[in-house]
Amino acid sequence: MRKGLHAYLNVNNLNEIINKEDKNTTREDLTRIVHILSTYYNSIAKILNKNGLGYIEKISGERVHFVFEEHGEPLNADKILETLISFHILNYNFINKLRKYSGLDNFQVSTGADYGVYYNYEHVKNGKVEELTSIGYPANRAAKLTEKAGNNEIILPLELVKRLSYDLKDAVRQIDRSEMKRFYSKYENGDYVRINVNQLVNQFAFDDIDVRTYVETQYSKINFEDVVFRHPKKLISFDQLSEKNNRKVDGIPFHADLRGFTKMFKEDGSNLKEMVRTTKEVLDIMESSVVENSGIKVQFQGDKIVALFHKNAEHGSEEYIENAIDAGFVLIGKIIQFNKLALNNLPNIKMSVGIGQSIGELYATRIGLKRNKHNILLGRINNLANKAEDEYALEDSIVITSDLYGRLKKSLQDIFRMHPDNRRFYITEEDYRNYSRKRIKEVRTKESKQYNKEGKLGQYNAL
Amino acid sequence: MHCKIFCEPSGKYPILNLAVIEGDNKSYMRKVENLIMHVKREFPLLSLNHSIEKKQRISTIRGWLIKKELCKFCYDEKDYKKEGIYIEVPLIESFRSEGSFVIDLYQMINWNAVPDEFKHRYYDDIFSVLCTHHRVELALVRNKIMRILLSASALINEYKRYEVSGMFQLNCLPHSDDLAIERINERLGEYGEKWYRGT
Repeated sequence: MRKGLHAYLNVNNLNEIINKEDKNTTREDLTRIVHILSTYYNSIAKILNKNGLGYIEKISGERVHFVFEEHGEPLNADKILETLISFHILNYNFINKLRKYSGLDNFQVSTGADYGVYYNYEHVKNGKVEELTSIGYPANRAAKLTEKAGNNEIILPLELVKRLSYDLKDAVRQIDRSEMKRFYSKYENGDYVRINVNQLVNQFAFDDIDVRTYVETQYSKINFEDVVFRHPKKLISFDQLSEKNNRKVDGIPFHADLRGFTKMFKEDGSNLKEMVRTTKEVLDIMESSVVENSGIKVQFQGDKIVALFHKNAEHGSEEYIENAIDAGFVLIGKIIQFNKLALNNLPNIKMSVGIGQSIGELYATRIGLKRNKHNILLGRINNLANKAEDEYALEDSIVITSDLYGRLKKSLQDIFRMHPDNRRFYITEEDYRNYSRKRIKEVRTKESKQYNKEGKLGQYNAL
Repeated sequence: MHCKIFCEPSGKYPILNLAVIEGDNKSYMRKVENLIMHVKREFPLLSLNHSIEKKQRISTIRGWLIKKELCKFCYDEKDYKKEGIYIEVPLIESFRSEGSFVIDLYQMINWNAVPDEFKHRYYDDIFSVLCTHHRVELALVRNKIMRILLSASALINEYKRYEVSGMFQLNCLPHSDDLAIERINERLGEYGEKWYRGT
């Protein structure tokens, strides 16, 4: 187990900016968005690298997750706050004022952070660490706090602010515990404060020459003309993507979140050994459910997986729609099976999954500094899938948008019903066994027809 | 359910007397490894089985014959038993040119429950071998093992459907040489010139 401060910086209005840019008829892609995100996030990484306080764990569209890890002695509260404030000033003083981005709405950013114990999981593939993701309460709470922080506001634990050597005067306001409970249903205890960065701009006049130079080089390094969005003919490989080489796809973003997983970690770390194994198994299950159904893993975000199923010549034009729904049920089934098998080692624990999906045009890219690149999906459609999972998916259920519902074949439509809380979403809580039986029957009939049609010849001429 | 064709694994399976490799062992292993790559793409639960004797004997493909489209809905061994059968396919040295045969290793198909006209099998006292191809037809395809496995899978698929619907709709080749060749020629015609060239 490790200890430290997890923080999220959120570009609050990125979705609106993307929606606007998406509908912009003069531009057919998100060139400017990818460019500005890359400049901003890489500059943040540069600041962190320079002061050596922390590192970026994950970039996921509108959010950057960074960690300030504690190594023996307590964290330096002064420096951490200065760093967090510098990210805000970087945005207001540099990024928003760059000429290339004129016409784009200014980024409005907020930060939320929390301190505590967490577990770092390294996802290894082919002997190489492919991805780092941390699991634990601090990251979960920091994400929630970020959502509730206003523009240019930072929410920090009171404990950290008390350790500051300087006075923040009127810029600080403590959050009422009842208010915390209102916006964070899982809130138990702990005090947090809101810090208004606007009032601190003069006190922390951030003007790091190195960073300024870096931003300018980064900014001018890539021309808009160099940024391309290609339509893929076969399944995307994120390894081949970069800020310049992006993809525009018709596809289904797939967001699946494990519920009840963080609870399995004991705060004293007494079951860490079992949990290391469990984490690996569970994340492998999530990835394999996607890959077996011809989907692509985009990234893990803690105990959540983001994946993509897209239209391509390899797998038939509309097959990806069925595949995405199949992947949802396969994942639910595998987690239920895992619960049964793990019952001996981890009693009284029930994990479940909530899944959100939507359909439409979205953008795939890869942003970050060397050796710390992050796969990203951008676009209104991706935000809808995230919303479906986060706000509407219940335990072991799949929530889809009405657009996706309309594209499903009749037999699949039958298992969905309109979501009681929002008519734009549909939900299914169908038992995975029933679904499997139904689909197996369909697959068998299809195979038989195909075999009779093609005869015994015509297939497998490759050696 | 009309009749129960598939039964629990018998627990007894024949020990195959596998031939010793006489030719170049390395070249044989290369071919086998190449083949299994193709096989695993369609049948994820099949794998290579090598002998551990001093004399290098031929390898076999062994495992659950379940296509990947069905495999993803199988969560445990109970599902494997329900959706497929456990097979073994010996890979003789000349498997690329001569193909092979599919053995129902645990005798999971109860042939007594299959009407005579749909019994696609070869049978001797020890092996229960599925009838997967006609030698003339096999000569026309390049990856013969893959072709045989797909054919076996289609047959099992049809038997599973037959258990439920009582209808056997698979368009199989007749066992007699003359009729089979006639049917193959008909089918080749449907593929047009390209196919003639391919052969």
